Amino acid sequence: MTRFFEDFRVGERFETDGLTITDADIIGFAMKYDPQPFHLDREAGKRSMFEGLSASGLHTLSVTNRLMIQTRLFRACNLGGEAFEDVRFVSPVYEGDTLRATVEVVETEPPQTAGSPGRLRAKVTTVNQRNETVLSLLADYRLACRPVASEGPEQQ
Amino acid sequence: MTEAEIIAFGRNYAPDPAHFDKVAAADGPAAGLCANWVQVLATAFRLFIEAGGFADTGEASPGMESARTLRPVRPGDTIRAIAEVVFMRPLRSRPQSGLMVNAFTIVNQHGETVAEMRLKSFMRRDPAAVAAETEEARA
Repeated sequence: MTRFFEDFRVGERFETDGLTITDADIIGFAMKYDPQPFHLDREAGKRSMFEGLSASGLHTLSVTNRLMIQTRLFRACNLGGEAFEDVRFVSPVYEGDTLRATVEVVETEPPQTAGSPGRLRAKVTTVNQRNETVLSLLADYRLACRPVASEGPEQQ
Repeated sequence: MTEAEIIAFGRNYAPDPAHFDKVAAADGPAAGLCANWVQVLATAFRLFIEAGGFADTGEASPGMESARTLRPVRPGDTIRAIAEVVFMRPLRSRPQSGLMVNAFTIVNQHGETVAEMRLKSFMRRDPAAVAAETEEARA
C-alpha cells in the first residue's frame, strides 16, 4: 500500500523484518564509525563492561534505520528524517543476535499550510531474539501529503 | 564524504534510492544523492574518537538526548564536528565512572551546520580523584 501522511493513524503499529548481526558486521562498522577497542577486538570486548564483542550503539541505530526503511512504510512520502529524541541503547547487541523493530505512530501533526509536509512522530523499539529491548527512540519525520489532484498512487 | 562511502552506507544501512541511486535521487526530495543522516552522525562520532575524545577511557554510551538533521551532506562535502562537554557527573551506581553529555555540532566546508547531536557517554574517572573521594568519605 502506498501511504502518504494522511494514511497514518496514531496508535498504528508496524513490525519490521529481522536481521542477524555477525562479528564481521560489528567489526566492519566499528572500523569505519566507532573505532574503540571493545568493538574491534574480541579480547578487549571480553575485558570491557560488555563482557564480549558487542556492536556500537550507532551500529544498532543504523541497523534499525535499515529495518525501518526496508518496510517501505514512508517510501512514497518521506521528505527526510528530521530528528531523534530520547535514544536509549538499552542493552548490548552481540554477534549472532537477530534484531527486529516495532514502529508505533505516537503523534501526527497536519501541515499548517496546503502543500507543506505533515509531521509524524514514531516510537521505535528494537528487540533481539529473546524479545529483550536493545534500543528505543522517538523519530520525527516530515511526510508529504497525498497529492490533491490524484486518486491513484501511481500518478505523478 | 565520498560518493562510494555514501552509497556503501546506503546499501547496508539506509536502503532508500536517495542514498544509492543517482538517477532516482536526482528526482527525489534532496534533488541529488545525499548521505543518510545516521551516517553523518556516525562519521562525526568517528572523528571525535579519532581526535582522542575519549583517549582510552570511554566505556559505553547509554544513548542520545536528541539529534536533528538540518542540511543534506552530498558527495564531495567535507564535514567536521565540534563536541562541547555540556554535562558531567560521577555515577552513583559506579563511582569509578562518570556520565558525560557532548553536544555535537556537525558542519560542512562552508561552515553550515548539517546536523546536531547530544550524545551521552560513560567514561572512567581519574583513579586518584576517586581514591581521594573515598578517603574523604572515610574521614
